[in-house]
Amino acid sequence: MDAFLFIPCLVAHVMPQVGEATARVLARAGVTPRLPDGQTCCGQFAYKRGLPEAVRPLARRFVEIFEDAPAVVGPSGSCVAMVRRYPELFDADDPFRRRAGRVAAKTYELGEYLVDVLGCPDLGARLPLRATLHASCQTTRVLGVGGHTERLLAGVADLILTPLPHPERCCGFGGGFSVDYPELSQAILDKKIEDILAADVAAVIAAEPSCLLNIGSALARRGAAVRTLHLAEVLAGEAA
Amino acid sequence: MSAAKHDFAKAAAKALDDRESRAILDRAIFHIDVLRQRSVKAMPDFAERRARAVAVREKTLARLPELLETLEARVTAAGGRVHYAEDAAQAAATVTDILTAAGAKLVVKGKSMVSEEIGLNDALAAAGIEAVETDLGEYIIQLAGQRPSHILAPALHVSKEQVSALFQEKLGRTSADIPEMTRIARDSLREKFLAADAGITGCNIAVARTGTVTVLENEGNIRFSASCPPVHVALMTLEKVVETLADAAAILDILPPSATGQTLPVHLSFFTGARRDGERDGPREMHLVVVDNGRSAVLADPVLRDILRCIRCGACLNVCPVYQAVGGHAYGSVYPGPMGSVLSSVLAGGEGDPRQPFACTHCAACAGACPAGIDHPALLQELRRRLAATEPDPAARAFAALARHPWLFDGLAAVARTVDPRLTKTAALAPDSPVGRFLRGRRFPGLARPFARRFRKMGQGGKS
Amino acid sequence: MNACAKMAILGRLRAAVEGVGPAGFPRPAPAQGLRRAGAGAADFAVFAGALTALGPTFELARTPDEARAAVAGAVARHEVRTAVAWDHPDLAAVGAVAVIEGAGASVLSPDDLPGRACPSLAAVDMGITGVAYALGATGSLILTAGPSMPRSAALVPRLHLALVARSRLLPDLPALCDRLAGGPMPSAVNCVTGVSSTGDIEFVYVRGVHGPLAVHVIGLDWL
Ligand code: SF4
Repeated sequence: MDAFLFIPCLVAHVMPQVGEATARVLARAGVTPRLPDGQTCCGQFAYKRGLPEAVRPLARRFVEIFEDAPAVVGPSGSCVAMVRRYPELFDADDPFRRRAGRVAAKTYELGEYLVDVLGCPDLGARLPLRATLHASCQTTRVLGVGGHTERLLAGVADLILTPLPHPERCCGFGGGFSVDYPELSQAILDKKIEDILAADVAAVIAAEPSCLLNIGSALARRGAAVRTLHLAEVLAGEAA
Repeated sequence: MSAAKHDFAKAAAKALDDRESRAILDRAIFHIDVLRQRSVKAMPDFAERRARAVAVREKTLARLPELLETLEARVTAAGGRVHYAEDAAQAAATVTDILTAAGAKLVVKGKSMVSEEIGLNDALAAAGIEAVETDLGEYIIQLAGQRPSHILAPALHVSKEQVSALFQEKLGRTSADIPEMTRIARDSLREKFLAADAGITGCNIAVARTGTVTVLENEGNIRFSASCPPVHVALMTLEKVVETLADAAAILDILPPSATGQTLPVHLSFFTGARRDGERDGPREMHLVVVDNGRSAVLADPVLRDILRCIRCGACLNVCPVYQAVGGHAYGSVYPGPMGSVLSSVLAGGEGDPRQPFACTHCAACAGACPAGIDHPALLQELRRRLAATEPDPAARAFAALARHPWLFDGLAAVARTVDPRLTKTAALAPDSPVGRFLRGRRFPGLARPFARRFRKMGQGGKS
Repeated sequence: MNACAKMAILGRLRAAVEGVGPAGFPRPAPAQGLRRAGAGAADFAVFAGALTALGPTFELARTPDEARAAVAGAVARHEVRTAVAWDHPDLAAVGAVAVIEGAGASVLSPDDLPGRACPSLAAVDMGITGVAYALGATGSLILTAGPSMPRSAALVPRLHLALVARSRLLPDLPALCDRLAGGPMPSAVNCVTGVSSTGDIEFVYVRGVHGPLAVHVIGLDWL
């Protein structure tokens, strides 16, 4: 069985290790990862700036790139959520609306794919680590697959999870929000960082690269000894 | 409603600097949301209750004109009078005229956000009418000369020390003890209740079929305001009407749990018209003022109209990370938080920052908590779209344009990776560019050799 | 009233609901029945449990004599010297007014009240009322206003004593709405659940804000 990798631009150019881990996890689950050419950005940034018309060409590209895929799997809840919104970018009589609908229906967030499509296979993941989970907004509330992330993490041997007091509280990134309102974004992020530091863990896990970038860059700035790990990296057991 | 538009970013930055208020805010909001979550969890049928309430709101909005006419007929039959007001100024003038005609000098007020919306207190003061807020939180806010910071808990941001000092200054009596301070407020407000010439209240739900004004509260001040003075003026915005008592019950099923974590508030009152023949108390005159202020126009908007489902429970404020961080005042509008970000954008008068819809992380906590099934992120997204149509936003447009050409996109990433991998130079050169703003307080991990090249080396899976 | 405002507003609303486009009214949603009244028979044990959790106190009287003793006890305990009483059949069934007077307190009847009743009750210690209904699930007292049942009796005095006949118990709020819909609405229906309270200063819960500081309920088991 094949699955096409949907690699968000942030993963492609800033955290390629997340992409590698995604490919490895899929391979471990018996799925052959394929990487189609020409992927760039799903358009989420422009979309949330209120520019759906700027996203439309990107949606068309995405549909053309992934139309023949048996399944599309991406390690980002927010980018998958963007793809799910593609159909509504097109008018009812635009053939792209139906095409986008078909692609959206077979596009999955990694955890969602592993649990819903593959039936939560035993990945043999092992990671001796004390960590905590940041349940990112886009994965939990928007896609509704927060439970999938938790289920997969529960299957990782030697991983000790300490819950955050407010695991689902936003980390304050919000794409353009962090640029428009830097102080506010920082203030929200600070609360998240305080929660993480109080949990006394070696790593914070999330299924969303943008949260990891946001949280990680604040931890780095503070010189905190807490790493950020994507769900895929944990499942790939790479951090050992 | 000054000419210069409110700047949320500036106000938010200022609020963030006020550490003391932030600490109080944090505790208070956390507390109120814990109560909500606990009570919602304790109701095994909450999802059904929510679906029922949403259905009631929807069918009601679809029949608003007809229901308002029925309401008017029933209120009139019960000895009340109904007035319509197009906007804030007209609403305030209507109330002022009613009170002036009744010769009212002292007015007691129950908590009402509509009253804030129409700037009623200023209008009454200008007419020489003394208006006393009687909800404890509103009373504190009025004594302090402030505005509410939360639609349900207006004095959420005030510490007990501040209240204590305020009471000393304004009432000449105080205490450090919260129950004792409450007693002081009770005593001084009781004089007002008993002497007032009129009472003004809001209206949580109006029942068309019976002509009934329904109000919810815990303190009893609304019950006093509507029962003791000879004149009762109730303010409602036009979407607050439902058809039947059973419809009202469907909303009452979800409102108190979402608002305060209660099954029912202490006082749930149904007022129908004025005092009847032979009755010994109750208002001799009852007026219901129906305020539009932009809402009828929203009803015609296929996307934004959902905000008219709102039942003012405040849950979306309590779960919003932005509201949690800065509190209500930073919004510069009567209604803060997610519901306020939508409502302020569509109400006549246009208070607040027009770019407020952008001050949202799209975390969707509001939609998850909203008992009226409002998808705030979707509404804010629509408002962003309309705002963006009038703004250049070169950065976002350029980025999107770039993403249409993979060779350019990847090529530029490669250039950046060699020239300024951690984007520190860019940030230093252009501190106010998107990159510079993002990197305030953050350290960028750096651009890396792209995934596509690494993947080809991994030796598993090939190009498709 | 401003007829122009009314016409303009209703006109816009009509245009909005009648101008059905692709997103016409109402939004498609599954049909929803209303929540039916609880089926469980409402009894005093359930009612008292909910009631007393919220601050009021409760006593069950199995006979008129027990009820009279309970009323006299409340008058003594709360040092009641003046009271106002509703003219209500459940009070009559107990002979409550005579009991209060027998305990040494003077009792005002609704007919004694002046045109502005509230100020005249400011110094009265107790208001004694019956109820139209009581809700088992929430411990709520349903007070309806009427010529012999002034609203202020249960609002202004520091103590509210309510006599609740067993036949007046309803399971819950939907049941109440059913009952209320069956007849004309009184000028005021107050559903009182507990003792007035506030949390407006730092969310510290304080009982006894504007209404009575104490609420005592006597259940009349035989009625
Ligand atoms: S929008 Fe929803 S959550 Fe917010 S106040 Fe209104 S009903 Fe409550």
